Amino acid sequence: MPYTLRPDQGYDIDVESTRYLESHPDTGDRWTLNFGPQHPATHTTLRLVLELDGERVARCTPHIGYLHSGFEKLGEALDYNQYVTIVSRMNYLSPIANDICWHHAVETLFGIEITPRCKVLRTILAELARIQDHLLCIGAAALDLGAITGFLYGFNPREKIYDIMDFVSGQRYHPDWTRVGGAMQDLPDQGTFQRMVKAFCHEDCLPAIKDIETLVNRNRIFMDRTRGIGVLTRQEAIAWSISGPLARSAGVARDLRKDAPYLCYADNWDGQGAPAVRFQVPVCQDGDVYARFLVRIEEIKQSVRIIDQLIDTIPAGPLNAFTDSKMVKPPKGEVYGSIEGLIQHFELIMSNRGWKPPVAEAYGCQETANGELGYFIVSDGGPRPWRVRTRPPSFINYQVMAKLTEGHMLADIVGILGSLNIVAAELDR
Amino acid sequence: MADLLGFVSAQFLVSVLVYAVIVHVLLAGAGYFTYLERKISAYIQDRVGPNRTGFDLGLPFLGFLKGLWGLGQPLADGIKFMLKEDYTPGKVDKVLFTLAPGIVVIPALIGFAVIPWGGVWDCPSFTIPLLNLHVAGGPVQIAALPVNVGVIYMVAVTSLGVYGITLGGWASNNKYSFLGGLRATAQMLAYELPLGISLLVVLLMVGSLLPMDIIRYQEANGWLLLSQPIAAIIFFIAMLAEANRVPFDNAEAESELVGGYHTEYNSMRFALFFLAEYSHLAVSSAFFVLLFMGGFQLLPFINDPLTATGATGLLAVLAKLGVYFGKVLFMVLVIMLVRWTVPRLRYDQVMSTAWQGLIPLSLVVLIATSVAVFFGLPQGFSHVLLLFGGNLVLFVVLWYVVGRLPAYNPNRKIPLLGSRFYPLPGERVDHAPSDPMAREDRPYEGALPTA
Amino acid sequence: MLLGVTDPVAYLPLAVILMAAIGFSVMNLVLTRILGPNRAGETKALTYESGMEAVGTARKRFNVRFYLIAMVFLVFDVEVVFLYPWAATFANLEVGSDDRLLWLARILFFLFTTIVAFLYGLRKGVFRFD
Repeated sequence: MPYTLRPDQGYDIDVESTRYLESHPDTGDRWTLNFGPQHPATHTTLRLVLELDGERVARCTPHIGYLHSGFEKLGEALDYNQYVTIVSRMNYLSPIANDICWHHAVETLFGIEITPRCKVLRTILAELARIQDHLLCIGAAALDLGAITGFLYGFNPREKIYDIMDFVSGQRYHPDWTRVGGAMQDLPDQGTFQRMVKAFCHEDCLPAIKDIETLVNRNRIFMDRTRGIGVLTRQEAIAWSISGPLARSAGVARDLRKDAPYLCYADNWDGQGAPAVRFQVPVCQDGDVYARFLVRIEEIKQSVRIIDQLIDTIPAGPLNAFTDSKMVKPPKGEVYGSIEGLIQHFELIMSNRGWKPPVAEAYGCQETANGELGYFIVSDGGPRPWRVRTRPPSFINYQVMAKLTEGHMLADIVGILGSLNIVAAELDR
Repeated sequence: MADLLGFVSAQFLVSVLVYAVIVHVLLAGAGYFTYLERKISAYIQDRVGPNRTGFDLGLPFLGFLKGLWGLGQPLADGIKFMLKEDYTPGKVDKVLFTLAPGIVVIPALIGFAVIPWGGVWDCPSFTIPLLNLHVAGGPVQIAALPVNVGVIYMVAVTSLGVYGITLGGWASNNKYSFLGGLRATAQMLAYELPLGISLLVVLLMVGSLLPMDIIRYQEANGWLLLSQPIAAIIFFIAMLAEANRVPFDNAEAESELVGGYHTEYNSMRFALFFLAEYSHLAVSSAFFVLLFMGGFQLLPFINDPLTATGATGLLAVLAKLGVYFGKVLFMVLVIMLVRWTVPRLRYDQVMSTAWQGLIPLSLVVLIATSVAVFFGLPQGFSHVLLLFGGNLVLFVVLWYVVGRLPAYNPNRKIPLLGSRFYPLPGERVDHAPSDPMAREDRPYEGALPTA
Repeated sequence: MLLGVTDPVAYLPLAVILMAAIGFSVMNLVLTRILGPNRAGETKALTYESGMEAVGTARKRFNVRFYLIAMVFLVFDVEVVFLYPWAATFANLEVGSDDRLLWLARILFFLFTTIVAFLYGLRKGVFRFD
């Protein structure tokens, strides 16, 4: 059944008008082709209306909204902890990055400083999420060009990340692990966690990256298919406010982890003068599909480097910030052992109480795999946000799709689309 | 009665028998090639592949046939395809839509006819009992169609398969199918030439069109893979392109054209396309083995008594069949490894590879070979050494020359009429919103187009 | 030895082969029609275009520069066909004979014209497919 909103008025043929052709002599050999939403290369439900001249794309009109699920609206009905289950469904390639970013924004609004242990764990998990996202994307870069093997090389280690998420939070795909001021639970067993993460990084992830590099990096066909395709210049990337690997591959040296440091990327993150984690931000000048591929591969290696710095020195101490600001759910020991804890728990849990945040606005953003992911929260003092606005990297990055595509060939579309790494759930929210 | 059946000779009977055997091997082989492909891809990709489907058909008393490394998978697939709904979508050309899979499978099933699978068999005289027909013995070829056009037949027949693909793509009235069909046709046209020219190189050296002569020549002078490596590689690449295999599978590029020419097909009609593709794979491999890998000869320069062309016993025939099938299987495996390793070329790159790469290269090889043949080639091992050296020199020279040709970037953008971001030079780009409501909100300069 | 004969009788197996192949394809097409279920539906009958209503038809003029490709192919393929009989006989001529030289010279001239035609096409941009 084609996508239709008004069945009584026939099917929804909202192809953009081609009136612009009327002022030119129509050669009569133009085709309008629906590329998506139900198409193997549009990784989710994206839709491009293409005007083809032969195999060339004369005009590309992206249509969005096929996976619209009212995620932002739901933010007004769920409280600050509940909404994490929704945000983790936005970019489902790296769900925990959304969780961490959402609570980063909430904690910015509430003015909570989380504990060093929580910072380290969140940093590790955020880097794992970055790897998770990039592995799929670089695998898909090969898949879109017809080499399925690279895709599966990327997918195998992702399973190990799911195992780690399962271990940490009890849920494989959508961990929903973070909570205001901390996390749902501490690590079940720190030693096991460290072993799992280290095994993943050095026995699964890096060998897989090496395999993929061996398979496609210097492959003549792969290079012919990706170099010079979908070129984005530095000026264009800035003008279209592109972020993430897409911008860095075009020569924009911007990474929020360096430019607006948070978690362990900031100096003195543990309050005792600990230095920020050391890593490099890969930047490429070409701005084509191949550059994006290389930048993503290098970012994975840098993520492994960050994890290596933190994994052995996870600080002890409490995971949740238990402050007097009445914003954080107290640990169970406090709930059962002290009257303050019990009252605080009660205040937050009862459906007629809940959080009492300041009447304010806050924007919290982090560098996720696809770029700057931000949440803008407007609070009216109630237990639930008055309005939540997401700044999804996919949505912003998707703007350039038509620009990158027009003038290229039909087969290049899949490569470009794959390199943008658009996640439709995040795009349409 | 004997007059009526006067055409029946030992060769005729053997031909029909050989065809009957080979076509079954081929059809079963096509099924098991899909199994093989899935297994190989699974091992390359760190997976398991089909490993559950046995031959028990769900019947309790056949329980001991369960599992069997998933060997029942092709059979199960076949049954499934047969029992699926044979649906014809609304806007298709019904006649052509139905005929196309039939057309595509016929050339695949008759293409291998001239391949001399088992060399020559010294057939004894015998009498067919009921008809009381005496059949004179003598040497017969273990081939389905031992005719003097020889390899020309193969070139002619195997390229017919693209008709079915083109017709199927056109009849579907689906843009993806149509694009797939067009791509298949253009690709077939382009790669027919390097295929034909590298075949010419072989024929030029052998001086005959007969498959048996080609094998005999290679028996005397070593496999042509060794003495004509460039031609062999060109032939292999063209063969991949003709069989629509990665990296030339543009006609059914699933990430661009969904299913390509078979997007609208289902049930057995879809399966016939696949059957044809895999049969074509086997036939092309057999052709390659015939031309460049010495046919049924086990090893180059070693004339073992069983697989030499002179051996005509029944045992020799069986040994030759085994060697030939083994070589074909090897080639199929190589092609499958290629498939799971490299990405796909773009359509224009496929065409440029043929027209700007393989065709000039094969012409150069042809001219060089014809000059070499003019001066006469030595026999035996020195033949291989001379030609291999010549190929090497040619390769190095071409490498040097081609590296100095002006580079051409096919990945650039081409400005097009009506494009918003890459319009033709001097073209005014109309940024007007098409929605009337949006136009009210955001009036733009210039006259409103009348709707 | 009977290794390929001009006798038309040698082509008789082709009839059998052809009948078998046609029989196989027809059998498959008919069997699947009989064995499978058959249900119609308005939406089911739609042309597939990524889940949307198809825009226009596929039976339209289409620019793949197909005309040029076909023309060039025709030219070159005919040339290659001319070469087959030459290739099959050239090696059998006596080495050093005048005939052999003549045949080589003729075919080299023929190939020379082919190459000139090819270069002309290359300069004209016939072999660019973008």
